[in-house]
Amino acid sequence: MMDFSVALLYVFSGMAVAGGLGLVLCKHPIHGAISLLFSMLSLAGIYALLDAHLIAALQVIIYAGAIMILVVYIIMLLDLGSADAQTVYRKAGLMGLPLLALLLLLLGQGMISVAGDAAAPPLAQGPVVCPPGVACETDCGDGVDQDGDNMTDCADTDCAGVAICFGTVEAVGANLLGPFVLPFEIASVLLLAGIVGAILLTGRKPGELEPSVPPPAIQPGSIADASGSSEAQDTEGAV
Amino acid sequence: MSEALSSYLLFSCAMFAVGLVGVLLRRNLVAMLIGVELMLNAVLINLVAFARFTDGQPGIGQVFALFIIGVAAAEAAVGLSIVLAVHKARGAISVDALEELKG
Repeated sequence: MMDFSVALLYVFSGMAVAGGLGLVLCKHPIHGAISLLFSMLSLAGIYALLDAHLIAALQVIIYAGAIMILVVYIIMLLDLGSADAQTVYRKAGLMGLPLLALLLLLLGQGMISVAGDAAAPPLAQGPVVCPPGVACETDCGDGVDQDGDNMTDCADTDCAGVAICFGTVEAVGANLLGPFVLPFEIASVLLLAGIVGAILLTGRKPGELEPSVPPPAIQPGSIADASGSSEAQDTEGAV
Repeated sequence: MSEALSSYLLFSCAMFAVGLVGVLLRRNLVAMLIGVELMLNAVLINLVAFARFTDGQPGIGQVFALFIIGVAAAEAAVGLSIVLAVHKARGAISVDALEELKG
């Protein structure tokens, strides 16, 4: 069992790194996008190996689904296939490579010395041990709310490290909507800013109308709208 | 080497390096953005691996991973619309089209 997961780790790692190298080496952008797709799917496998099943599913849905579709749309929309077949690489970037190698040497050395050969600790199977004097959810699989905080089983953050709860939607969501609810809301504002920024950046500006469309009557608020949109673009750059 | 924490960390190191090489070497703005996505994913591997291998607050690393996925989605949307705007203004998306600030 253990050997099988180690083999899977090497297979997925190799596929992910090969996909990344494909991105760097392929001249045609759509080939790079497809190799990135391989890379993202292998990374989802690695998250599943780490028992983070929710993250693995979201990796497939968001990275391999949404973001890749966006990238492929842009490549097709701009017709990038023949754009830079001759001048794919920047020569100036080569100067950064020795620095990169040094950085990686130090980083890898530091990571090995910190992590060592620590194997994955088995996830807890039995009842949760409560800190003295504090009530907590002791049995995570019985459907009973032991500590009376209206959070049952995996939905209680006490159970986040137990094998049947680790990486499930309930356990991650209990943390996300419990202690991390403020960052969660801020992330939703960030996504809203992303939507508004994308519309502002790609939408048609006032005064940039297509000739076939008759110019609309000037509204009293249009000048204020124009100044407001440039302000919004500035803040978007800061985000 | 068995299935140890350091193998996950070294793998994420390699992914980060590949993404950084992509950003440094490619001229195509879309390819550079994809390189940034690879670097974000390397960080995500680290977070999930540490969440699995340490036993303090096991759920929190995955919450941070979710935040990274959300930020990456916003970054991809805004970055690709910047690419679109550059293409509209310059007719190309090579970084060579954007070197006014070069000294």
